[in-house]
Amino acid sequence: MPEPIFNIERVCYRYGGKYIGLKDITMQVHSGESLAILGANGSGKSTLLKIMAGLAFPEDGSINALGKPLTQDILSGEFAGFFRSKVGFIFQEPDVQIFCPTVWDEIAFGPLQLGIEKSEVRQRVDDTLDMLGIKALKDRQPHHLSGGEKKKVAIGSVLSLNPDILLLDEPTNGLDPRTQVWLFELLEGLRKFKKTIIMATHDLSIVEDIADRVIVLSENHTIVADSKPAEVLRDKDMLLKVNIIHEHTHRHGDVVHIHSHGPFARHDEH
Amino acid sequence: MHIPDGYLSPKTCGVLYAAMAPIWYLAARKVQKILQAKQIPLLALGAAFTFVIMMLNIPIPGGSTGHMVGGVVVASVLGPWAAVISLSLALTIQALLFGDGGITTLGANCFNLAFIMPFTGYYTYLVLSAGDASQKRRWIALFVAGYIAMNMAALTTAIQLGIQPYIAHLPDGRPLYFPYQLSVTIPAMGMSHILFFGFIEAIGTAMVVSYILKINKAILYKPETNPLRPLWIGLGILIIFTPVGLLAHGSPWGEWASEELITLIGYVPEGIQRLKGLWTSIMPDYNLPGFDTPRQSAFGYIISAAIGSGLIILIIYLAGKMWKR
Amino acid sequence: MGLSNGVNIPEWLKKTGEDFCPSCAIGGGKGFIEKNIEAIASFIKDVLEPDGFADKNGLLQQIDPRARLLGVLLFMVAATLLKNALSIVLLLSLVVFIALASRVNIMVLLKRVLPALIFTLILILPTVFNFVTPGTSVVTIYKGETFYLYISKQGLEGMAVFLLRVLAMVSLLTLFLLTTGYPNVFRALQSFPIPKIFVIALSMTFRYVMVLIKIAEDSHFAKKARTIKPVTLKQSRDWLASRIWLIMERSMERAEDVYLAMTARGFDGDVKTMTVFEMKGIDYAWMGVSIFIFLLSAQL
Repeated sequence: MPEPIFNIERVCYRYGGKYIGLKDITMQVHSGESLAILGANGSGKSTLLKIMAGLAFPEDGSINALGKPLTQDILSGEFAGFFRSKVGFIFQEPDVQIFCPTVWDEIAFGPLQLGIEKSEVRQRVDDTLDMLGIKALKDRQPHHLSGGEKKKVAIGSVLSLNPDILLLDEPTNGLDPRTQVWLFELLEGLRKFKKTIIMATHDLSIVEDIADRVIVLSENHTIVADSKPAEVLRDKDMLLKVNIIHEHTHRHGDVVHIHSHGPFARHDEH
Repeated sequence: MHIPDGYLSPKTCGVLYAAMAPIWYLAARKVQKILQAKQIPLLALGAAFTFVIMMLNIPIPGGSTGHMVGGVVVASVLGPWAAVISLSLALTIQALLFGDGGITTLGANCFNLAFIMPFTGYYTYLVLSAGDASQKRRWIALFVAGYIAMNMAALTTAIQLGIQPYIAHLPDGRPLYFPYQLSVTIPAMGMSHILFFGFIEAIGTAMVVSYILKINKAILYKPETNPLRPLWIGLGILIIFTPVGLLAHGSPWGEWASEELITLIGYVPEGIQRLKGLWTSIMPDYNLPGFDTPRQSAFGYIISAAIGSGLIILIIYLAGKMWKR
Repeated sequence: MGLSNGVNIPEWLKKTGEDFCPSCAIGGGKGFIEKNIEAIASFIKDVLEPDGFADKNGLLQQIDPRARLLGVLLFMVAATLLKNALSIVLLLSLVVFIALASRVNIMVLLKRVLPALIFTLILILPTVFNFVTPGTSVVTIYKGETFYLYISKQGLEGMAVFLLRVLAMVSLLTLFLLTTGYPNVFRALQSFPIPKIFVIALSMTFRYVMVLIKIAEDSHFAKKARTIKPVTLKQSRDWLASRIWLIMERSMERAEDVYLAMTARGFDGDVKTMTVFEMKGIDYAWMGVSIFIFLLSAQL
């Protein structure tokens, strides 16, 4: 097997040096994988993503990315430009990410930094707008767009750099069902072309659609499962324990019963 | 820019708290009239916003960075009166929850940063951008407003610090609180703010407010019919108090006689004197009869303080009992 | 090549493992982005972890937060009133005693106080020399025909008084903060003669600082994640302006929401709170001591 693009070993992280964020995380990610990091709110999945993006640094343990140890030092040197152009990060909230006066400028920002020729930049931006279906918005101010449109702009602003690795934090949050489906198709398309996709989510229902591997973080901030989506979804006890699905009581006609529920669950049999 | 605890004499702290009281009262009244019940969340969020931008570094030429206060930014969004309250809230949180700035000096810090700053900045901007100003003129107006506001706040700070040696010293003239005189504090504060901090505030104000103007003008504060009228009153007051006025009066720079200063702020110590008189009438001369030698009189001090605190506690206790019923 | 719903992946995006930028290098050193991220992180740390003495079962912790705050304020006023080094030293030893009785680690207290102390020390160091404070020479540094430089006794004394006072006052406030959790600070304030609405606004401010600071932090992370080359000063400023705008827009939106939520819960601008002032023996004792110290220092 080729060298993993992320090699994370015994990583620990604390918020403010006190509250545990991650505990003893060991995992590898290989090129071309499509990985979902599943966990309840506060399980540390966003932090894990930030550590992979070189935005937060572990207190203990080590992380290697693209063959180099990811430290604060190396990311203020020459490696930083390379790393940041290879690793795209899409934040949960598009607003924090987009800052240019128009949608067009926002998407052109990355390629312009890359030093690509002007004509090619123009081509790239047009392609990206096309792919996202937001060509009509190109001269608009991003602030005035709807949530779904903003998300598309944020995704476009990262994709226009053509990163090999895409990190997404709660990508479906706040998206209407149609935009969600669109996003799944986009990610599926990117997966075909060997992009590595890593996303953090608490939404069990999307995992099978977009990932071929799932890592589950417990509320104790450790990895409790790492396998194929179907297998993870089958393990109801584990999912209950990590608080991704919940038990509830309800009635079907005269029958009252308790059973577990994920956001996706449907049940016909009582 | 925040004056820490222990730098100002109790008198100065008291005077500045007293000076802020009517300003806060008036601000609360004005804001209530303009914003009605929406005021609390708006002022609190305005304060939270101020608090956050005070934490951010702003890049300036030469690769260095600095913090801005944001007084003029807040004033241009909430109006100067609401800015007084929002900035005061932010300063209070800084002092009381994070120990940043002083508690006894909070009145002084609010006076400089939450009153002088938003008002001078806001009205400077109004004057310079009066009429149908172009985008460029607005940018310049904001820049100048930020610059002047920061420097005015620095000046009042320098004055508060610099008068300490005159108004609070030992019998032999040695200062008890901030030791440098106006001849030192004004140039020192002046230099650092004219050359550095003033520019940070200027750049910060211009870049943020002109961005708001570009994106969404509606969020900015719209003044009532004749916004410049209070300015003339304010200017009048400033002319009276400004050191330039004092200079014209004939005193050399920074070498004001302490009598002059005492006459300037004399009315308040008098008030304190009266309060002191009230206390002496309860505990004659802080002392008990029969304690005449120094050691005895020290002992007398302790006893009279003990009796005094005992009395106060008794009153609190009884009052507490009565309120509780 | 399109997918079912027409997600059309352009040719350049299909290439993986190429397309990097050899000229891309971010200069070393800390830019304002890194500085801000650090400032925000240390602030969040301060809020999350207030050094944890509030839960200890010590002297100050047992005193009602209202009496605690009032007492500390009286001590602070006492510190401003004192005029000689000896009396301030006595007050300081009392502060140390209170800290120990409240099980506060003196080193932690000192660490918190140190920045203010060092700042003050540097600021007033020149006053020990004769060109600021002439008097009796203690240490002669240079004595020439026309130029005489020495450290004066009076200068040293003045510096000692000033430094000790700052130390005492900052320690007192820090001691209060170390032993009092944030909710209790606000509870204490409610019984002070300041308008209730101000106290509510204060606690609201504090709460929303945390919300806004998260936006600020994520914005900086997002910028960092997208920065592959040094940017110009103007670009940096434009970016920062847009972020400050974002934080402001969020605060205004949220203010509106909070107002609506408050109205929905029956708030009409008039604050009604429930504060029953109930002091225990220890509270009276504490108040007694602090009033005593205050009165004593008012006479000295």
